[in-house]
Amino acid sequence: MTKEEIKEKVIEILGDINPDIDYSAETSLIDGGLLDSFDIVSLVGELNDAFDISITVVDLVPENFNSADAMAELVGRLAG
Amino acid sequence: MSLISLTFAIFFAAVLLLYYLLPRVTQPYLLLAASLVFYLWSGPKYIVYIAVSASVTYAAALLAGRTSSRFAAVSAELKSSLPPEEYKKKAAAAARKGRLIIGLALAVDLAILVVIKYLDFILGNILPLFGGAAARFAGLRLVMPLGLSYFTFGAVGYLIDVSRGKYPAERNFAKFALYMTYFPHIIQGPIPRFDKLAPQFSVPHAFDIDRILDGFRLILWGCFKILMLSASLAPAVSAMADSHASMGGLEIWLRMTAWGLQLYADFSGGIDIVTGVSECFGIGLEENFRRPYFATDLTDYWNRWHISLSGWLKDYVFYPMALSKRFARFSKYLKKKHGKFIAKTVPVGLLSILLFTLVGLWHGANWGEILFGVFNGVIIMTSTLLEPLFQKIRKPLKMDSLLIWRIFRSLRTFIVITLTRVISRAPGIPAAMSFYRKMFTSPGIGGFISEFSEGGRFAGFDILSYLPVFIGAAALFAVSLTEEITPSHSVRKLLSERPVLRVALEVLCVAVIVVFGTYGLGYDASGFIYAGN
Repeated sequence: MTKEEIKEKVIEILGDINPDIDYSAETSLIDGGLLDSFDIVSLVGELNDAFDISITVVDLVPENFNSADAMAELVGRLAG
Repeated sequence: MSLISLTFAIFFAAVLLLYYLLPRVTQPYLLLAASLVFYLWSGPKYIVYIAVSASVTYAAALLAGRTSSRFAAVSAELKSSLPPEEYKKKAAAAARKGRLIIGLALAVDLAILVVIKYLDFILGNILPLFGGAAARFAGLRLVMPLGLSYFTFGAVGYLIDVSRGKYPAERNFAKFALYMTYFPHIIQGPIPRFDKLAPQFSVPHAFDIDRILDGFRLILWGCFKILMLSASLAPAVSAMADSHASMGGLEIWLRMTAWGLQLYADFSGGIDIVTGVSECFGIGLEENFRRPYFATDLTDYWNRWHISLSGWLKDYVFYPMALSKRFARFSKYLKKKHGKFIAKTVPVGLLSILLFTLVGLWHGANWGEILFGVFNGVIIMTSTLLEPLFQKIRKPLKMDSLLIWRIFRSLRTFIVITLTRVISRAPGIPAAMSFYRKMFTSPGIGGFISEFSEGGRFAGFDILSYLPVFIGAAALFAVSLTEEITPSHSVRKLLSERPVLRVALEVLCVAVIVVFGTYGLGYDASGFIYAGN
């Protein structure tokens, strides 16, 4: 999967969590309080299933979840 | 040593003077010596608990780190010389050894906490079941050492971080001991994080008059909150324990509101003082409050109240459990049986109840506090389950953009948190049930009005005695509202651009405390509500 394909899939998953956010442009999903801890848990479960990866507690830092780009990068790193 | 006392003022002035007079390389050692003096002042024999916790935690982290680095040093060689299965076994054994060391240290740290803080409560609930002499056991009645929960949580967080590889174990015992005992945070937090606090100890801090004055401004604001609000409200709140049987519903509502205000003024005022003290040394502490009474719902409230506690529980309890394989299996099972929404909300909701039970337990070893936690967890779970329904109502009405709706949400959150606090504040569970009944069915307005019209008294107190409360609450509201509207700018920062106004407000603040504050003989400033946890 290319980075762009990963990002597209990530945005699709995020859309299920809260469709009112423009995920392609937003860069402070965590710092801005747009995703709460319930959302994060659900998001991590979906990402693990969709990409067959295992996101751990160590990966749960705002820098990895503030934007769709950052999430795509994390997924790419864990899948690679 | 109380934070608002002449003793502390002299102690702080002496430490501050030496901190900038002695060579900068001595700064962390001076702070450690000062922290030990401060700790010993609270009772020399209690230092043994924190000494054991600090020593065990320090040694275990170092030992576990050495185990993993020893394996890492030979890992490449082993990988090439051993069959893959054999190599995996060796790697797993090394990891197991590291986990065992960390696990043992965690057990020691938590055992100290459980034995001192919770054992009497546990035994008090179990032993009566056996009857006879066991039922008459009065408990160990151990005295809580200063900052027990804070240093234990600090130690546990450090051990888990080291075992996760977040940062290497600290080699310098003096610096680690300072992280554990640092006197500004030991009384009532915030709960420290090693990676945020310890690096600041290693940096030399030059004398910076602007930073020191800023620290003193925060100290002044903290004193204002405590002496104007917390101390002035204390008699009205403590009367709840003695005369609750004769109180009407409206009076209970008022006294519980006073309790909410007192608790916030006391806890956040204390945090302001210690943050200001720490700022004078050039060391920043974690943010612990973000205008909690402006919260829009209970989840938001807990993201703004005692932030270092909720953040700690999220990182070391909630996420590890929520991301575990067992939890994922449970979610998948629910998804198959009941659909995506239930799978998303129910497991996390149940986890929230557990988390808030721990929040309750943190506050004290009694059923009132535990039920307070459970109550919060159940409300949060229920509101999460109902959120799609609420959204369906709010969206077409475009309520989220209305100011009146925003104000209503904050008021509603305050009422909800006040209601949950009844169960922990009332003198016993039966009294709490009686409080709830009266709050909703018998306001007792008549008695209230006649008391006021006959002698100008209000809930048993002269109305004029509440003047400091009104002044304090108005100032606190004005500052909080300003910061809520411009969250990127604290009032301190806003006032730095208006130096004349700032000096005027500082003088006014001191004058108001001197004239209206509750202090002096008969006032015990040492009794911080959150102290000793």
